[in-house]
Amino acid sequence: MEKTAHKSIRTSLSRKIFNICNITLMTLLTLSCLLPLVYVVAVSLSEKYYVQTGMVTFWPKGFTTAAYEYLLGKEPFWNAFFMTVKVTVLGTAVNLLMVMLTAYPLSKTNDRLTGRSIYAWYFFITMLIGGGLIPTFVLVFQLGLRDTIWSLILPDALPIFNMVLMINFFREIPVELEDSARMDGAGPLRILRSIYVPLSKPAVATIALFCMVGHWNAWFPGMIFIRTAEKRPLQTYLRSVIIQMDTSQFMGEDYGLLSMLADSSLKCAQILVAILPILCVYPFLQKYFVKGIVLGGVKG
Amino acid sequence: MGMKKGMNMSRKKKISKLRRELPLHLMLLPGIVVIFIFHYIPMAGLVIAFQRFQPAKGLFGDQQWVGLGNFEYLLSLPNTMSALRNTVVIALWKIALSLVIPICTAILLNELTNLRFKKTVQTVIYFPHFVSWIILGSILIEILSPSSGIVNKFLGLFGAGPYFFLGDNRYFQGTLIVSDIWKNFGYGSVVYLASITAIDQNLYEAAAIDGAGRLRQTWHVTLPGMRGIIVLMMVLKMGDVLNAGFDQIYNLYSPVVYETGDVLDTLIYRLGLGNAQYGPAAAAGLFKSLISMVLISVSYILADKLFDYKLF
Amino acid sequence: MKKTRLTSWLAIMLSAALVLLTVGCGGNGSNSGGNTTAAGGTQNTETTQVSAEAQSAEAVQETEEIAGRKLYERTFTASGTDPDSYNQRIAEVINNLFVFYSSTGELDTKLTGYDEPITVTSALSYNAGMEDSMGYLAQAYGESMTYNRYQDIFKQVFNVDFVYSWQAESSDYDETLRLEMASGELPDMFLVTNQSDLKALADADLIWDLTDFYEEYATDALKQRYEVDDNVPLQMATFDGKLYGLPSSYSATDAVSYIWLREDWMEKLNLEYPKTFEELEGIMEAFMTQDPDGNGVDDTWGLGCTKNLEYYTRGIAAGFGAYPGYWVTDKDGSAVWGGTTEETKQYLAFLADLYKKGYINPEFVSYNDPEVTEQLLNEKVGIMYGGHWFISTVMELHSTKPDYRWRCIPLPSPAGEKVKAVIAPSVGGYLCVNKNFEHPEIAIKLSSFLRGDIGSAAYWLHYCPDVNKGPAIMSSFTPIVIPGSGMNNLDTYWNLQEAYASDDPESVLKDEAVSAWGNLHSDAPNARWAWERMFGPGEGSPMSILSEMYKSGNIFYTSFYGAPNQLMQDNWSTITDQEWQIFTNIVIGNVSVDDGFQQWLDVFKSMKGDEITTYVNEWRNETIK
Repeated sequence: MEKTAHKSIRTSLSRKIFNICNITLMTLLTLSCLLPLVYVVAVSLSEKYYVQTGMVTFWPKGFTTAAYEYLLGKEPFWNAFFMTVKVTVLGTAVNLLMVMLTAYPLSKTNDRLTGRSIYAWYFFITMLIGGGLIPTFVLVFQLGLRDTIWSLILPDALPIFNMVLMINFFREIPVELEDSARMDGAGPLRILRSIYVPLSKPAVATIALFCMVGHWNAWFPGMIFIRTAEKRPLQTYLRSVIIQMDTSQFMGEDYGLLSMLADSSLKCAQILVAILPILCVYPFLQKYFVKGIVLGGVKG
Repeated sequence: MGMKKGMNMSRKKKISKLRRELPLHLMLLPGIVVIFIFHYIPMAGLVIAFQRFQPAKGLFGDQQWVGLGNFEYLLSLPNTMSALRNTVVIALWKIALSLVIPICTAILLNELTNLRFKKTVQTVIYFPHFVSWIILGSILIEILSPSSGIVNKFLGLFGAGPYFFLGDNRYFQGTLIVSDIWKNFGYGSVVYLASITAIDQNLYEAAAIDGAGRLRQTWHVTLPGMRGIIVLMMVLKMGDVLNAGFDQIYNLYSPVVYETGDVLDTLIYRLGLGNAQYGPAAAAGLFKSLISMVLISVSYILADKLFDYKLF
Repeated sequence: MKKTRLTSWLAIMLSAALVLLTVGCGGNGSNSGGNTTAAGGTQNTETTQVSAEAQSAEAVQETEEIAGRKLYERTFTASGTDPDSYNQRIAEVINNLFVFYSSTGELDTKLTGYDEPITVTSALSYNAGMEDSMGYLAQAYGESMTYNRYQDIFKQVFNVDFVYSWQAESSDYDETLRLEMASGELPDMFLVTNQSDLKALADADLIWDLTDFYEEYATDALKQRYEVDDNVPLQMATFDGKLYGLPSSYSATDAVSYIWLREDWMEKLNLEYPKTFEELEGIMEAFMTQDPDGNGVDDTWGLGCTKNLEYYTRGIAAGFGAYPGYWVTDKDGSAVWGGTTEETKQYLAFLADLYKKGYINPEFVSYNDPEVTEQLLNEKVGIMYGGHWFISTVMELHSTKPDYRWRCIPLPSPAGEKVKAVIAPSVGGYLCVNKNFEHPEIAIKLSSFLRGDIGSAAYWLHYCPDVNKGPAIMSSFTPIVIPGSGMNNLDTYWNLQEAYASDDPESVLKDEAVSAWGNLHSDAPNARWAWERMFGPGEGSPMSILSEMYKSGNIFYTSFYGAPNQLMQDNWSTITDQEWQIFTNIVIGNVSVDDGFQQWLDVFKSMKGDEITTYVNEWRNETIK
């Protein structure tokens, strides 16, 4: 009796020390990730002079919201912004649909799906080998998808990496559940919808987040497939705003542009606005990660 | 008679099995079609690797065949071998650390009792992943500067440095690896955290009743519970041995650190896209694909043999 | 409840995706159809809005016949806050050009329009700055990225509907064009920025040989523009005696590098402007140790530089007679790559010495332009080599801190001798015509027309000063080339000096000098200061130095400006890549000057640099007699 009490006190003491260390470590990690964001915020709210002379660190100097006011009236930015919203919503929906549809059959064992390994390798190989830029572009061109939103969605409609993750999440779900549902006469689509998806909420949320971030951050397809300024997605647009111009390429007439492009406050404001939507959606999905202890009861 | 009946039975069985499986095959169909169109058809374009490809003649045009000429050309370039070596070294470090650190972070995160704090940490450490290397590159150049950067000022307090992280061949690879891990560990830990939350709580209770402390619970319950996802990530990452991170290196390197920082992708970019040499670029891409395929296949087999784990 | 929420959420997404997928497969055509109707819709509303300004439209209608030439019906209707002034200016531009070309007699011979409207598809290269400018223009006049003043003019004058079938970011334009080439579809008329791409297109027989059309349709004004440069730009677009593209040439002297010094620091420390490199070193030493910014700390560097070593030390190299980024002619009259000469080695030794003495910030190897700009504005650097537009980088700070002044001096050299600078013909692009397009002459007609004397309306047409805060470079909004001469800046400078000397300056001004004069007398004091420091009267401006160099015969053209051959296409980028990699290592002392230079020569040899030199000399013997 005494012994156990002693032990529990010791445990809780070491536990306390551990907790303090853990919290300190996590705080440091958090700070290391937070400070650059703070820096970006500070720059976006500072006056040009202080920014250009490098006097801004973690607090705005010469506070001004000019960058944001300017950004509000900047049509190309918002065009790009809403294009990306469209691509992200639509693309994530298509991705999720395709991932679920494909991952479910592939999560079965070999004796429940003839030719499963062949299918799996058929998909997996495309992760390792691709045709490259030119053939892909020519194909998209031939299909008439160039300069449409579909050129940003269809080529990667089924993200293999995420699908493989999903297969593995689905495999955690006990077969008995499915078998009993099938006894009740449910078809695979219904089983997927009413058992697999609800049971792997954390996984679905994770995959949804990955797909969203992927679409949100993609700039290369926009550069290759889009041919109209107004249809450019946000990252493609940002790249052109942020990309540093090489002075050796500045010839003659171009020097007038130099003063226009040196505005890092505006850059930072755009970066922030571009990050915000994902930062807002993230906690919403995060809820599912934390709450995701669904499988336990069934398994035990 | 009996034989015939048996055959009938097995045929019937087969048919009924197929009928039962049919919906599953149908579900796979959209994926198969999409992948075939957008991934398999363009593979025909890999022939570019064996051509002196000129865009003006068109993809289906009368291109000049050079056999293995593009590969020979790649080998003749002065930087290829050091780039290959740098690629493998940088990538292996990144792969190893990008497994260990997010796993540790996920476990430690899971230990946090204050839910709000946990959530905040989780949200914040995920943040750098959203920021592109174009932006991070310019921020890093600033904070790592030997004369004015915050990092060197901080190290200066302890009498160390200044270190020229981005311009000195001794530190450049380390800087690349650490900054990459810093950018992505939050993202990685999300996957692992998802799998930790899926672990049956009863297992912990059972372990606790057996007198296991937190550390032992982690070792005996948490880690085994994550085994599947860890092996999976390991296998998937093996395909990245020849991808050392183009975006990052392109935004941070400079000619003085080519010796330790130039990788296959940056080399291909400079001579390929910069100079419209699509043939050599495709050849290098093909080479990379083949190596990744071998590596993944080996690790797939190893995972199966050692951990009894099938990737898919 | 909670369970069903995610499920139903997912169900909605799935069904939405399904619907979209089905639409998507056949939906492409209807999609773009939808866009066109939408665009048509906006146009309609514009027309109704504009009906209030019908009078101004009528005003234009009245001037329909100018110099005996009728205008074609326009499809563009100006809108926005100031459509009247737009219509007026456009009418003025067209009027001036009609008057000019009817006086040369070319209006009805070379510049005829088309009774049936002709649609020309093209491609537009744009950048963020242009989008910003277009934001203002859209507000003021209703112009857009896809339809601007030039298209309006082409329609009214020639009945040509000039449309952009695609647009690409200027930094991705080459790549985009190659992708389009590979898929076998090219616009009717387009700009090729790269000489080897032009040659590839010509070799593949995808573009018109424009030789005859140029002879027949180019007006004298256009031909003259090329002749001042001895037709060098045309030669660059000519293969086997056939002209494949109309080059858009511009100032070749932009390649000249000048030395800029902090004028106020020189005064404060009582220093003499240096003529020799030894004296220059003295200035660097003084800037570093005598605290010119007066903050009590020795925190300034001797020389500003970035990882683009070639550009930022070009002026130093020139001091040694070294031209490591150019083909030059040696004593025997044959072409050699400037990087392989003994002078380049001397220049590298000098730089390595400067670095060793601590005059150059070691961080230059990781710097891009923004970082060095920051150092300039932070007053950490007092000496920089750069182009004449360097001043625009520091202009902003000068307005808040008038004491912050920079000036130019003639380039120092080892013993104070005069420095020769190399220039290269500058061509921003070549206008080509798709072989499938039936009217290749249109390209020549459009360029010719705009090259005429537009008079005072030219500034508005090409720079649009009254809408944007800074001048917008309007000619970027059309691929139609309006070539300038290689000596543009000098011509402008001389013209401006004439104006300064004249009693009636405005009457003396021609071409670009008109806009430059405007900037030299701008209301913004910092802009005025910057322009005076570039084009103004007196010593210490880059143009006065350039003019002096030119008059004393110290400006010379590079020895090679032909299209690269196959070997060169394959190896040249690697050679120059290696060149600057090794040079940088020499400068920062990673390798000794002797060893490093030998290593570079070995690379040059192993990458077949000698064979390339032979090709360059062959080209030279054929082209330059």
